[in-house]
Amino acid sequence: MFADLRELPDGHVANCDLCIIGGGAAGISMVREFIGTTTKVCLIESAREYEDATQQLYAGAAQPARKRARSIKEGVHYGVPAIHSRLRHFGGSTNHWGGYCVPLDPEDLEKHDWIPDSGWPIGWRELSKIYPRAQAVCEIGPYVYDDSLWQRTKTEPYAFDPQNLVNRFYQFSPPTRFGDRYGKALKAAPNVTVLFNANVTNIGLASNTASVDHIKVSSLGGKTGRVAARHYVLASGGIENARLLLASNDIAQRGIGNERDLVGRYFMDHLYDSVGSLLVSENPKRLIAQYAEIVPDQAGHPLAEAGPDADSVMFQAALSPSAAAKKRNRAGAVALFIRGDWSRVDEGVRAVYEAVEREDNPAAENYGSYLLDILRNLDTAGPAVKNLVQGKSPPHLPVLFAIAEQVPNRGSRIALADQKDALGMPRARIDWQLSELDRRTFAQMPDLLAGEFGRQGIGRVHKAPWLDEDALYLYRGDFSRILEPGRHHSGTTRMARDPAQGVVDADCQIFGVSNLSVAGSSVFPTIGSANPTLTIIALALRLADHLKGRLTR
Amino acid sequence: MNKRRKFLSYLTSIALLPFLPARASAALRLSGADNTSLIRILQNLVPDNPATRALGTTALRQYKSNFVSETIPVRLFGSLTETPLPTAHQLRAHLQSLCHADFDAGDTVALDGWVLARSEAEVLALVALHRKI
Repeated sequence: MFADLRELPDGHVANCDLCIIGGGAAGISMVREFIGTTTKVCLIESAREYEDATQQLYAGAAQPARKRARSIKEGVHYGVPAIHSRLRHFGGSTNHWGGYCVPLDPEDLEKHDWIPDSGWPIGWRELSKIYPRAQAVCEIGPYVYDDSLWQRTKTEPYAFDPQNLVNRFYQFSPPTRFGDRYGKALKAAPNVTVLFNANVTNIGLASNTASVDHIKVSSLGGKTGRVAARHYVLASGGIENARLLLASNDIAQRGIGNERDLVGRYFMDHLYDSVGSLLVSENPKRLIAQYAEIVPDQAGHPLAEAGPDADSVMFQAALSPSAAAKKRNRAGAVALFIRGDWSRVDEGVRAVYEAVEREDNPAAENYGSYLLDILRNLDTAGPAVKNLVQGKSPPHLPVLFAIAEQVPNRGSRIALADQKDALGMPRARIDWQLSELDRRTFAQMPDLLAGEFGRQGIGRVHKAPWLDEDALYLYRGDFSRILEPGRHHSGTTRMARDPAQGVVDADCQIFGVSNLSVAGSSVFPTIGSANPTLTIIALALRLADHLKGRLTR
Repeated sequence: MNKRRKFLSYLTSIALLPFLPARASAALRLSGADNTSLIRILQNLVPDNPATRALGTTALRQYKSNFVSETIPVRLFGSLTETPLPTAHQLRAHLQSLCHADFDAGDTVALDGWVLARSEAEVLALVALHRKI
């Protein structure tokens, strides 16, 4: 059923078996697992629909001014204000989710000697078993993320050297808006209560700090209440999970689970930027069929022509550095998308091909794979290409757009500010720190791509100026200003085998607190380059399985 | 650093070239009239337009002039010296295979942001040098 704190008596105490704080992808996925069981579940959520006053609770403390000279080691400007990078109402950030789904790579879970604090306490085999269930929650078709998808394109895939580049595949959720899609089922479930307008203001530990006794909730109008449960799950997102744990410092003075000063640290996000442009030298039809950005209903795309029938799998392919390449370059993971206005790109390249075809040369099929042929036709391929040669921006060339992993960095953190929100809670302060390794993760791509694209006759790569070593001095202090963060807040309650290394254990339970677990990307020790939603849901389902066993004992 | 190491090892190998009989023959051949003929064919292959001129100027800045005039022809044309003077089509195919080999070996050079096969950069430098002359 749905309930509203504002309509309950002040000081109301709700009792349940399982209290889940936060009705986003993780929280709702978990609750669904308990529908029809004997476990009484209470899902705590702020607003039912978007409300500005509620959203304001997500505002962070003032960030350092963008122009202020800061080094990446001291903390840099987080490109998106905290208030705009997540949503605080039923369904959470799935309400503005783009729907991109992709599992992590097996090597994303491994420890790498060049990535500090890398390595998950759970293995790929365990995680991969749950992904198909997460896929179903996201309302996507078959769980297929391998080369068999190429059959859909009816084109021969490029034979990239697997020591350099590998393909990775994305599928698309409609996207599922979790509140809208699953709200009815939650409302109808007799063992589920969704309590709206309930903002958690404190997680009340028992006096021995070894368990949670209750949580305090408050509406914006001042109505207060408590929820007492056998077990609690914090599922409020990468910033809010840390804020709630740190702000609940009445019993544990450093905050819950923070004896080792790890809560809020290792704040990570994906880093978005272009690593260059591509001057296509072969007929781009094959490239478009395989790598052009696909929107499921995009007319004219080879994959869209089949239509969204039961057998169809809408996917987008990206390119990633292989495990060997990352090791060689001592860099993190990247997903590289070839983006552009393909109709305009065609115009530029068409001139090249028309000129080649006119020559009626028996070797014409090899034309275009050679730079001289490209250069021969630069003048007819449009003025923008000449601008590119002169170092100007290439408006109609496909952009090599990278989603890069930010590697764990202890200094990058969510902390509490002195400023308070409308409920008297300290606001979150984002102290985002990047590292030279993060820059190197981007910088590995142009050479990898240029080598493979050149070898395959696809074209030539123009490296983004910001990655040029000669330009380093311009950005060394703060290359964050040219990046866009992915709004995938992660790592702030990281998972580890050892309490010295993380906040939660391999079962996502907070070390030292027997009945408090965490769901969401805040438990990710590393983030790879994968959009996090599918993994968030997979881990939430895994946690639900674990708690089913505990709560039915 | 890796590129610098590769470049230095390349220079070392170039320095040893005169002591290798086949290479010595190539150097001799390339210093003669055939060299001029090959460069003329190459000039016809590389269009003279703002793009090639800009890249060529950058390439010339990147290499020492005696490297461009002496070493690059050996590298680009060395294996053609025992055959009759190639046609433009043959030279083009030959350069294309060098370029493929460069990409296979990860031997690339950045010119004005373009990441090119080393042979491509050397062709641009050589043509630019001779157009200057």
